[in-house]
Amino acid sequence: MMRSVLNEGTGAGARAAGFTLDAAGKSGTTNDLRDAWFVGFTPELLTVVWVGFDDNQPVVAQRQPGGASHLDAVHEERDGGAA
Amino acid sequence: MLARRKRKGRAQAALLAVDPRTGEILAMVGGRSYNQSQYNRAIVARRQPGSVFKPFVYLAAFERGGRRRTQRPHAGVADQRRRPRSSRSTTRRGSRRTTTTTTARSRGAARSRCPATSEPFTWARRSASTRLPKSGRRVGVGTPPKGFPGDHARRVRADAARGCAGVHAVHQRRRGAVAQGHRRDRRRRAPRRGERPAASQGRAPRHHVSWSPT
Repeated sequence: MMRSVLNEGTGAGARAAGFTLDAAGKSGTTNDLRDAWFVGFTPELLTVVWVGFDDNQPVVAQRQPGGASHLDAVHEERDGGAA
Repeated sequence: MLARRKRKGRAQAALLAVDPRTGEILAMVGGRSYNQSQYNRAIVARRQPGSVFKPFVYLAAFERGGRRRTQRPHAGVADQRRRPRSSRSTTRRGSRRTTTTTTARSRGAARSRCPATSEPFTWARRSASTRLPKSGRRVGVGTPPKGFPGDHARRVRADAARGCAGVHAVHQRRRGAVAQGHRRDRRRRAPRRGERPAASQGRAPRHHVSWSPT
């Protein structure tokens, strides 16, 4: 069940980016997207990522259908910051 | 997408990489920039876990030995389509005649109590309510219940009662006691003129949720 999160769910972007290892994960958000969590793991490595604001404000103003908008926003922000 | 944002500040992030075989922490990121903020969000911040906590609820439900009957997952839906919005049945027993009216709402209420047709997580939450503190502590889940800065005891207690405190789920067992405390507070009447207030009135409500280390 948790493999499908990466294969076809919220974490499908990892597969699209070329990640092919056997892995599973679980995403989670709180009300109004004030916190965004992702826990992903393989037999050798487990990572936990949290994204949010210190003052508990929503990460993204409007939630987008598809569920991965906060990750997109983080990626955009990261790419913009790196450029 | 950036234009739709409510604010221009940059979101913070935290990361923890662990070796699942040994539990060793391989990498830790506490925020965007150590120069800007030395607050380590990976280990100090208390944030609500959201749906990430659900696997632990399922773990507790399975450890408790709960079993969900899944043979008729759509029986309720089919049942609702087949029946009219409201039906009236009359039964005759001896000389007594009883008429019963069944509505969609009453049928839905009956279905919601049936494990076979309830939503899986609802089932797991109900099954695990007594087991969750033990299972959570066994796998190392749970921290002292603290609100974010600026929070006060009443809000933390209310969050715990509603089930949205950062770590409340480990303390599900105490939730009933917290809710009872709320009801007691509501029942307490205001002192009449000339009457001395009760000893506990005027004080901040007691924080019922406490942490017991393993």
